[in-house]
Amino acid sequence: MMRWKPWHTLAAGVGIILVSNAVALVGAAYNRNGAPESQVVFSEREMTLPYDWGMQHENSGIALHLQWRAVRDKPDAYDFYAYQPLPWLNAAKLRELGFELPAQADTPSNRRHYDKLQAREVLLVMELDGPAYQASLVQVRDWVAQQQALAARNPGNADLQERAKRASEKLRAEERTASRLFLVDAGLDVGALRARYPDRSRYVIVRGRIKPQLRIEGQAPRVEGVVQSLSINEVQAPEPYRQMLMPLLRQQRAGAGNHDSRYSVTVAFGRRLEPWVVNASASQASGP
Amino acid sequence: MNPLSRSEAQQRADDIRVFGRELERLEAEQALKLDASQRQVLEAHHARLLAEYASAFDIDRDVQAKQLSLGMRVASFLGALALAASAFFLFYQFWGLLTTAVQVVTLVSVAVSTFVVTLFIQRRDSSGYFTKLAALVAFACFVLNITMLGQIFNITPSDKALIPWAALAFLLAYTCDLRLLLAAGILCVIAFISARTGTWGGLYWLDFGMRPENFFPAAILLFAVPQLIAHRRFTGFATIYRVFGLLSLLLPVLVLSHWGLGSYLDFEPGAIEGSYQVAGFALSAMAIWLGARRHWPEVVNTGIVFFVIFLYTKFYDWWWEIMPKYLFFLVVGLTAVLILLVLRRLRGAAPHAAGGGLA
Repeated sequence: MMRWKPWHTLAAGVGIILVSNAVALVGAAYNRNGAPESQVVFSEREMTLPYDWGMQHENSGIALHLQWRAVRDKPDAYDFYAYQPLPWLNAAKLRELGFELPAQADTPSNRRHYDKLQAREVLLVMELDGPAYQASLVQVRDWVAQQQALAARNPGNADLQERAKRASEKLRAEERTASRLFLVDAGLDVGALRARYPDRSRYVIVRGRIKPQLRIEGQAPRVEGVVQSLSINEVQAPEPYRQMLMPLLRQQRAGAGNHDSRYSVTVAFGRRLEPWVVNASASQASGP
Repeated sequence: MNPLSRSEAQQRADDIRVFGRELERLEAEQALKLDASQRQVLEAHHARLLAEYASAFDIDRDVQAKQLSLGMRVASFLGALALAASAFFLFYQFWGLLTTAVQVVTLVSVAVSTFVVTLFIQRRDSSGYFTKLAALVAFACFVLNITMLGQIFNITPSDKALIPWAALAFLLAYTCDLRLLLAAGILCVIAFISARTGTWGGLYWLDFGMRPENFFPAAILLFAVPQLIAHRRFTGFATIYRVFGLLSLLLPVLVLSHWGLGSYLDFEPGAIEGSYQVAGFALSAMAIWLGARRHWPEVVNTGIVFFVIFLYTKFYDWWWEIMPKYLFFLVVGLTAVLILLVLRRLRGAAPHAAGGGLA
């Protein structure tokens, strides 16, 4: 039997390190090889700078955070979209995504089945500045008009005046600062989804996790799906673009308030649906 | 018999010291007396052995040295943690200023060079403390290497990163005789096997903890490793495999005994919890029996700890609400006394193990 010598240890260790790095780098190269699966120009509204918390001051890298939204039932609901039910993620769609759902929900064993269901990774379709965003704008404008009309009819009611004021602020945010990137569909096959959404400059396909849940409303149980998170939430800004973004990050850390978009970032998504920054430039806000 | 490792040499040195004390007592009690020539030969032999071991392995020759060694072990561990954190934050502080190519080259170079430095130190460090420090830093730098590569290229998180981490941890553990790195490697293996088991069961890999049964295959593997592969040269390695194997089995059983919904089984949660409670008692009792039979004290102790935990959680479920608290804790205390009596009886009945002293 071969005796293990010190140079075997050296070779094995260096081999482990080099091979694992090579696998990672080859995978990244494969992802970026050829034409990107999609390439989109995001503004600061969709690709935000990192928040200043914890050890962020120690980090010289800048990871841009992907902000996404979804059409909601009510426009005044809080601005948190992960783990919130989406109207189009119904039982039929969830079965399409591979979840085994019982035909009837309202038996104890079936309710237990739903409690035990866990999230799966699927493909998600995101739409930038498209019909979903326009629908959200219309929804908010209608709601603001209602709140303002209500306040106008009740001038002495401080609560209604406050609600009208908040509604106006929400409309401003919707028009100028909120993300225009909306989650619109999900599936299991990239080709099939791309055939349905062929515009690669507006529709991005990414990986994310979806989980079914059973909501009991009165006597009628309802099956709905929630998106827990995207598999990749952040994109690193490489060195040439980091220099442009760093002064803006310092302004943000110094407490610069609400502002319109100060930069745009072109992000490509490759064959493994992993993103990278292709370009970033300042003060090319694509506002309303 | 020439020792092959530092721990074997240390064990022999400890045995020599104990032998010397017992010989003094036997002579004082006039049960044994060596003549002058026998004593001279014995003392010369022991002195030569201790000198050889001190030169080759930097062993602890007395109790004071042993106490200082404990302090050195702690300092070595804390130093390694601090250096690893320093390496991480150093890279974190400056990586954004580097181009992608320089980032990659830096990460790979640091991982390779810290590994090479570890091997260099290991060949010259008879005490093992500096080797341990260097090996921990090398492992931390490799983890940093792969993690940061994933961030730089926005790679989808995957459980496959655990494989090279485990491989390097095991290589360093067996090369440098480091139980801490063995534990790190075992944790990577547990995480990978559990994640894979979860994926085959339809889970997202990061959610493997949502089904504690995912840990059972890893538990079986870890418990089997020291049975299939002898670890005579590596003191404490077999113990670590067995302890982690038991923990990977009994901790999930403990969780499932209170969280039936977390099981793959599609039955009433109450029935699942009851079944796992019974299984918990049975498995921990079996661990005590097996450990006593095979002279594995760590298995016995782990089994006892979990048996007591299962027992006390049942007491809590049955009596916390309905009993006055003084009575509840009295029952718990009396149970502990009963367990002591049972274990004392078992200890008295157990056949004496071979070994102790010089082989």
